[in-house]
Amino acid sequence: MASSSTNKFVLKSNDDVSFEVTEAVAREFQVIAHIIDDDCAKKAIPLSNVTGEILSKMIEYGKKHIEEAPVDEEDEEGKKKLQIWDEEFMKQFNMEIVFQLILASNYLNNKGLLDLTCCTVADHIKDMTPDEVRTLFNVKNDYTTEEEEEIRKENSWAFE
Amino acid sequence: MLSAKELAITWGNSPQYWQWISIPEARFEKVAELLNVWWFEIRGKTNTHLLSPRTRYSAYIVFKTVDKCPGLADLPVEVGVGLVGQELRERNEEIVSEYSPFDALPEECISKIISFTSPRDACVATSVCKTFESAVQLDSVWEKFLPAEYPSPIPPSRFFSSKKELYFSLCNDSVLIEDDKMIWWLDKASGKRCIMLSANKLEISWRNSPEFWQWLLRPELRFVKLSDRFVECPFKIHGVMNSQILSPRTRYSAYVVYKKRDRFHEFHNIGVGLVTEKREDGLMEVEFGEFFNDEELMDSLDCYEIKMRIIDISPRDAWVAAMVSKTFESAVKSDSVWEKFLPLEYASLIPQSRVFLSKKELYFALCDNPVLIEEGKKSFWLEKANGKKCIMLSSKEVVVHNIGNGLQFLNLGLRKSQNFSMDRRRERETRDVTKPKARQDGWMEAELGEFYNEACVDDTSVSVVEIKSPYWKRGLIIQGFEFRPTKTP
Repeated sequence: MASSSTNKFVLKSNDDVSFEVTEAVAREFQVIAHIIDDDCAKKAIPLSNVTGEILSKMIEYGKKHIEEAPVDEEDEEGKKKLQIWDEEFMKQFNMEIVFQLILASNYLNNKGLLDLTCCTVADHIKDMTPDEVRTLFNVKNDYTTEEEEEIRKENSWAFE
Repeated sequence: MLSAKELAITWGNSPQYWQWISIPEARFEKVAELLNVWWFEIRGKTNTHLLSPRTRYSAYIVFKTVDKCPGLADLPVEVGVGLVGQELRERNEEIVSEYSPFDALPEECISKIISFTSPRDACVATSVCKTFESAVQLDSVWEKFLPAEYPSPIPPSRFFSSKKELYFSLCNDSVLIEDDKMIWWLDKASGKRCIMLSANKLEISWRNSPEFWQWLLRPELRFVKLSDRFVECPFKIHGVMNSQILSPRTRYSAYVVYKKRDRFHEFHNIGVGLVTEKREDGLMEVEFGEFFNDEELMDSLDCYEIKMRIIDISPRDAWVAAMVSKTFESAVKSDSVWEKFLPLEYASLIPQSRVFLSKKELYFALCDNPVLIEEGKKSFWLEKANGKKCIMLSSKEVVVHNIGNGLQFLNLGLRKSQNFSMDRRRERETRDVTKPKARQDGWMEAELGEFYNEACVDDTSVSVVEIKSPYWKRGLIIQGFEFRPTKTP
């Protein structure tokens, strides 16, 4: 069996875009790692829930985190560098892409990217009023006036 | 044609959503470029007098697309035109009811997003919509807000149906730890750990002398009360604890919690900080004085790199000790004690015309009579209480306090050189910043200062709180010192 650095796999998006990646990058995504372990990865691995656009970004993230992985737990500088790269990486996306990345990294099970994307959305919820959150994300208020009053009363300390 | 500036565009003034640019081929000076929004509405109106009467008009929106943007073609768009007050209002609601990106997310993803906010944000989010409300209830959210470890003495009989219930129980019902000498709880809004040291855990001058302090027992806490018979004299209260017990990477404020009667004056010269070096008895302490009141210094210095002076005993302690008994008094008079309080280079600072019988006399001479040094450009004296060097520059209207091993800070002020003899005590008072406040539980509290609890560097980081009150009379009850995260304005 060839070593993981030379083993290549092909990931195929739902709009028929194919990406060839090393085994190490493929294993960044838990779901794909399982497929490899089950020996079901002979041909291209079809990913029915991910578009080519999103998949290419996820592979970019996976590659970076393989190449620049901190040497060990003590490698503060390496961690910091990767953190700065993550921040820059997220800046290029609009909210719609961020949500698609959340769905895809949840589906392919990459904890790092899921945390990063969720954290990006969380930054838009922090210190906001419910109305602001509704407006920003177009969330429909499905409470009746009484229900909303009740729920606000329960959490009144948080609005002080 | 109405220019984009004439139109009411949702979020049109927020630079993160729309930017206003100039394009040569446009008829108007500025046009609006959409950057990133979920939905938007553009409304415009014009007076029909400008148009020809009795004519059927069509209205158009004029736009162009950048890169591969699909423009308006593939999106659900509602458009319309009409006379004011008629159709448009109805269509408005249709646009708002379009899809939200959260609709597509599974609940665990929404919970995950919320777990990256704060307990307060999570509770606010419950009123956004029902999906959010149920996502906030999940244990995974509150597990993230709970500290990695919490004290074991949570009554074992108690059963928590959810992590959320446990979280609020740790906020509302504080737990006694460390042989009941500390109280532990969580700050509700941030989930950060809070600590209160009971008076029992504090080092208090003459703490075991019943003529000075009375220990009062309360069901849940031990307080200490300043005796009514106690005469005027400065005293010191220290609190020491390991900063690992607090949340890392958090700015904390420390408070002294107390009640007072009429004649007790406020605290003076109080501070809090982190220390890094060890004393012989295994505890560590450092004197901060007003250092932490200086915000600029606080921001620019890493706490752990500040060179700190280790105090074994201060001149004030020696002075105080002398009052305890005759044996102490004679011990305190010895030159070796007072030599230690003198700065290393004291020999060059003594006025040559004077002879001193003892180092103690020399010490007080240097405290009470500032000496001119460096060709009279500076005035030098020692601070009586702690033997620290004080320097006043005559011409630059700047006062420099040199504390111990090279730690110094500046106080800018308008002072003239002839003011050397001004009342130094008054000068001190103006720099002491304390804002005593009444607490809800009937006690008073005064903020001791702030410090930043970096991720715990090693086992030996300890924070110290010191209060020295030279002016107090009597009528003070100390409950303890409290550490809470600093509220950001």
